[in-house]
Amino acid sequence: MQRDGGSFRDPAGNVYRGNGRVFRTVSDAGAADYEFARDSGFLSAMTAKNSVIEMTEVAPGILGGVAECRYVLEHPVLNFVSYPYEWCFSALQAAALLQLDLILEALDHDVMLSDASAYNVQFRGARPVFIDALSFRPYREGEYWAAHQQFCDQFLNPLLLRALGGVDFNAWYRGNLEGIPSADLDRLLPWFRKLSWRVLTHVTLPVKLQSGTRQKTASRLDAAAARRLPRASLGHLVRGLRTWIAALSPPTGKRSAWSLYESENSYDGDAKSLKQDFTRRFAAAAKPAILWDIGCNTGIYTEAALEAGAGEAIGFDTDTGAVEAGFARAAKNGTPFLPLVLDAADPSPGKGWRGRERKSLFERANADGLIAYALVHHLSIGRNIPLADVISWLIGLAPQGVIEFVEKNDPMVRHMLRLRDDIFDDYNRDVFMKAIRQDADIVETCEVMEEQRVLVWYRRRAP
Amino acid sequence: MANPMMARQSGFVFAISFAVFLAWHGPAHAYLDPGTGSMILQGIIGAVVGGLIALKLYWARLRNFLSSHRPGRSSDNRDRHPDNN
Repeated sequence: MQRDGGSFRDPAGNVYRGNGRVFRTVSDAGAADYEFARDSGFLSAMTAKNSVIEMTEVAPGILGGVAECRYVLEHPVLNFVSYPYEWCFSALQAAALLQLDLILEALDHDVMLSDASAYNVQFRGARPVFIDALSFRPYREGEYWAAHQQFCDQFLNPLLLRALGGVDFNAWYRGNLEGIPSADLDRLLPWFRKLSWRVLTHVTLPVKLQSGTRQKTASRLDAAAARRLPRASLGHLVRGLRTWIAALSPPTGKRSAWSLYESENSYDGDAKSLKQDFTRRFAAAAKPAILWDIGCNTGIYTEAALEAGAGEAIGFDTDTGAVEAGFARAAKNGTPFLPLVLDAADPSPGKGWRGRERKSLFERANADGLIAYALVHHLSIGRNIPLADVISWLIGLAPQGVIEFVEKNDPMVRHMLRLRDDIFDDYNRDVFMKAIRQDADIVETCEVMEEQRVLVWYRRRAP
Repeated sequence: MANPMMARQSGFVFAISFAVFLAWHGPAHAYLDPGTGSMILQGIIGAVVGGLIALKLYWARLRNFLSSHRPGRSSDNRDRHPDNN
């Protein structure tokens, strides 16, 4: 039983993992708040709606005395933990709306949320769920929303960067654990954006109010401390944010970016259905509980795998438009598919305190099935990563899967090589097949588009 | 009388105009922790909303007083609470 590396900030309790189970301790310091949220009926109402993750009180002895605590809660295990810098716009938006809805529901039960961390939200498929059972405490009449700034940094500002500035938030968010500071966003926004009273209230004014001399700010803070924020005003503030965020969208429109993929990709309908059929055959035989789709695009092959027997799928792609489209479809159809924004050549590193607070992608690798279509040439030719290295990395991710190889005469590869020297002598089918056989057995292959492409179903050999 | 939602909206707008007036002074040095600006802002909102509630109460009392001195109208059951209108 080991404490989670990201669980140390809250004195109310910690998360422990072991034997494939997840527990949360509730300390003496956190017991009263937990009891209040539980006895008010708030927690059970929220878990019934799947807004807050399920929790069961178990005997504290289950942890074998590793922690002093009043209660131990057991949570269901999430198959994959993702971070806000890996989410697409709609995912962060859905997480933000969940956070705000929880505040409003909590107020109805005289409960308040003690923080507004985006890391407290996780996804099951495209559905957000709040995972921190200890973020709740009694509402104190007239209190301020202490987590307002945190909410802005971690939810609102990244969304505004995309919606008002047209820039994806992922790289910046990954560079700063706590999100995008209002002061930075305020400097970037053009003046006419600040004519909006919402931008003014939530971004510009808080920045201006804490600028100025220390004495001036301190006296303003003293004055604020003497006042109260009526409950109705708090509700109004949160509802206003909710309406605003629900209406935000990326400026290019969600359709345009990904519809190009559906119409402009270099293979025809026959190749697509051939690949879908092969994917189904693989998924039906392998029945992976967790499938990773590297280079998932909008997720059409993942969906085929899910239909045929894969349990749950996580997709990765660099193209935010494609991820956006995949997320929208998964949300609409309720499929257990979570597409994430990620560059295979530059995946999420360990972050935060000691680099352990947020885990690297590889620490989270737990797939038992993999598909990687139209990916290898992007890494080998696009990013100069040796072909054999790409293959051994992919095979290392999951014990079985399907990898596609695209020959140099494929239109896409020809396009990539058009303006550069072909320095890729080792990029050919022989090297590809040899690299696969190095670590795995080949179960089946499938030729696509007159042998311009090949799908290889591998099964990794025990080391 | 305006409905309470509208009153809150106008309170908000007023709070913001007031805060804009306050805000555009001084060099931008963030000496204090990042939540300070948000807290001050919520304090201003609280103060303005509090002021509006007080004004509404006075207004209600004034109306009550005037209507009780108007012939042919009874003042009972009216304007006990400003939100009952």
